[in-house]
Amino acid sequence: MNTPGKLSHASLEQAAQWYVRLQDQGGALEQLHWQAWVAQNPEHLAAWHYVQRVSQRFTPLQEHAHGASRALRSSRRQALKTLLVLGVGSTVAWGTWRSTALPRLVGGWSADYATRSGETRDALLADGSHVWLNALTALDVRFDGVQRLLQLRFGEVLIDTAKDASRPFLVDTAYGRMQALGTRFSVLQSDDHTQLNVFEGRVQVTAANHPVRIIEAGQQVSFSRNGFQPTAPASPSREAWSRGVLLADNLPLGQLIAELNRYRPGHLGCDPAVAHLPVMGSFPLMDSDHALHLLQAALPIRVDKPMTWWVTVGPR
Amino acid sequence: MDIVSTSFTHLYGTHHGWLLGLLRRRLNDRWDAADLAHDTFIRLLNRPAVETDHVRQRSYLATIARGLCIDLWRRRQLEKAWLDSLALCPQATQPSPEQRAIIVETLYEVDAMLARLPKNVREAFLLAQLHGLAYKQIGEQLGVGERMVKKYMAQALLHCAILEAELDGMLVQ
Repeated sequence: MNTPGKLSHASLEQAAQWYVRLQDQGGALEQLHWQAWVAQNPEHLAAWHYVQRVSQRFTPLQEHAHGASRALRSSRRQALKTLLVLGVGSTVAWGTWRSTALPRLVGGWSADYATRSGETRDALLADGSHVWLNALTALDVRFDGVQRLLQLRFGEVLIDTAKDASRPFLVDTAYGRMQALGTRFSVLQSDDHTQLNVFEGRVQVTAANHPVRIIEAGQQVSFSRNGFQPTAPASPSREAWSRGVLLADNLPLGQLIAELNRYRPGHLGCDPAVAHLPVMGSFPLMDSDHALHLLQAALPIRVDKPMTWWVTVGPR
Repeated sequence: MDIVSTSFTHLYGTHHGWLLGLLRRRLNDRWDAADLAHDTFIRLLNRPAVETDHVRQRSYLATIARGLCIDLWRRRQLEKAWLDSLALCPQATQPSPEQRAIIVETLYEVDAMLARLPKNVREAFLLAQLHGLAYKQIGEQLGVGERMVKKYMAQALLHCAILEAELDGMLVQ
């Protein structure tokens, strides 16, 4: 237990999941499965120990739950106001990446198909369509007698649809619906927009309150709550990831780093001072350390790793 | 070791008086100020003193001091809020002084662990861990589905477990 550095993020994630499952259901069968998981690997036991420790933190407060939750709900703003008078330059809130990255990690757990950082997978659907999931993706599949519906909650999918004249093939995101018209296309859902790239055939797009658009092979379009961006040439990199390759054709470094970030846990940040540097080439997605190494050799940048989980790319 | 202690002594000699003055003006309490100035330099012992420039050294010290001020204020705020709600309870349930100390310390730790979680996640976690509510009831209180509550719970647990494991230096890439 006391050997440092023995615990992975993935094990902690699983332990947290198990805790929720047991707290929620806790049936005999669930218990058995949980025991099997703990027995599988000493690391699982260690991870479980930490999740349990979190829960035990609350024990002294439970007897006085009412007062404790009132205290914990009291605003931190008062303390922060007072702090402003000290008037020193801003410090980096190093914890923020977690609160932004976690909803995506956690959200995937209950989707039909989900991938985590550093993982891609492909799936053959019931109708014979082929779907590739990029890292950090969650996808629900809802097929019935009248339609074949995919719901992309976040992340990115590449789709080769099978023909089925009687049931339209639909992909829904937070910002609209795409209907495949016999085709190969990719859909990328990020926090504020959906990007569609069509590689073969055509896709019809309906976004809230906007006229229907048809996107042809070789085109891409992005859309959000505010409507469509102009169409542009399709980006080969939006297909290359399914082969484990990150293609950069004059891609700004900042965007490339953001892309790599999906393939590793923790924080990978880019200093704005170098974010504009154009990058050409192909990089291995599944070995982001190697990709960073290649970038460092080719550009006037430095890769810093001040702590585990925290990598920044800045000027040399 | 010699270099470290020499530069530390030098830093202390050059900046302690200035920092104490700054903290006294901000905290309006000379004992608090003396404690925090002391703590600031203690923190410095555990960190590499990278700055060589006089102004930057002070800015670095002030940054550490500021963090300690927030901790102090927050701890007092938590203690006060907790004691206020305790005053409303009947005498029989009043905790002993030892219990009080443990509770205030626990409040402080738990508060720090939950500080960076989104509001709903925090709330769901508190309702489950403190009040022992079932996920269904939590969902009703927050106006979200049970499925969402489970996500909140897992998110909060993972976040806190990472912090716990980091404290022990147990995490690997």
